Amino acid sequence: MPCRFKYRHRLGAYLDGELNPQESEAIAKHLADCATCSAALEEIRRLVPALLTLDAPPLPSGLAVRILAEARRRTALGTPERISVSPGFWPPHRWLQDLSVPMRVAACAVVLLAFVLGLTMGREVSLFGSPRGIAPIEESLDGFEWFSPTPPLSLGSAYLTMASASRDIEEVPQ
Amino acid sequence: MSDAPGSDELLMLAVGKGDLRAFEEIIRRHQAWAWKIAYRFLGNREDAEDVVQDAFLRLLAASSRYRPIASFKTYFYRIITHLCLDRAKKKQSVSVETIPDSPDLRPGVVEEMMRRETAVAVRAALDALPPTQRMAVVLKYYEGLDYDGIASALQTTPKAVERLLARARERLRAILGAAAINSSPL
Repeated sequence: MPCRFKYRHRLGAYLDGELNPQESEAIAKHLADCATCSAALEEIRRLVPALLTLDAPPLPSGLAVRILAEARRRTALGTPERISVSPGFWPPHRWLQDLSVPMRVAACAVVLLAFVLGLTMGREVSLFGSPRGIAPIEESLDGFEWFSPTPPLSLGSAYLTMASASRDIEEVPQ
Repeated sequence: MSDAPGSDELLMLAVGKGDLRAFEEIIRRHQAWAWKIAYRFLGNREDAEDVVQDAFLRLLAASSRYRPIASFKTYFYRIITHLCLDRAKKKQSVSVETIPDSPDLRPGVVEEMMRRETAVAVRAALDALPPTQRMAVVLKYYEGLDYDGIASALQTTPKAVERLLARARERLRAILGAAAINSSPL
């Protein structure tokens, strides 16, 4: 008659030493009185040496060399995108790949914003795109020069001065 | 994890910075056990070699994201087991390599022949197991991992590992039969 002991299905875990002390003690007590469970435990125990007859062949010779050669080939090709050949080398997109998705979106938004601002401000500081646009801007920014797109002593201001001077020279009647 | 000089974890951090010599050292240290797991699980040299190579290359590709929060071995067990299970899914029938017999009449040859026969039967029995049960058996009996370690490699719970092993043992006993089990050396 099969044993209905509640831990019967846990005999393997008992043998593996994976049960808590209370469970182990309950099983040990039961095993002392139950021949069926003792036989089942013995069968599990005997399975181990049978399994261990299965050897693995020796490591294939040159396996490490082949792996390294493939690693070097892929590194040279840049296949694993995240690998650098030397510690100083930093692939151009790596910083973006290391960011989380929201941060990537934010980074793209910043780049886009900078691009749009650059276009707008570029038009404002351009002498040739809008020849009449400079004077009104200068007037409207009277007293707020440092908030102007071309604040005093800035590169933009120097560029405007230089461009104005060269245009004045060109406009002098021959 | 260990932060001792020369530890696997520190080597991996170096690999992440592009140090291929650190990668070579990682291969040297871990190729043997990786090979044994792959071979015992797949039962085929060619597949096992492919899996081991793939595992190390994946390790290299993921090295820049490696964070030493767990031991390196736990991390690598996951890669190896995942690749083995993936290979088993793609390749339903596993080709069993037989161990070549050579006639030998020296003392002990009968025992050796019996051991080989048991090994062939064990190979066939392992191949008859569902892949996850087979991997649990490989990690338990050949790698000596405890249930927590197996659960971590298979990304499951220790309770699920206990059930996997219980079912696997039952099936192995049924397939192998008392003869094979009892004839194996103790």
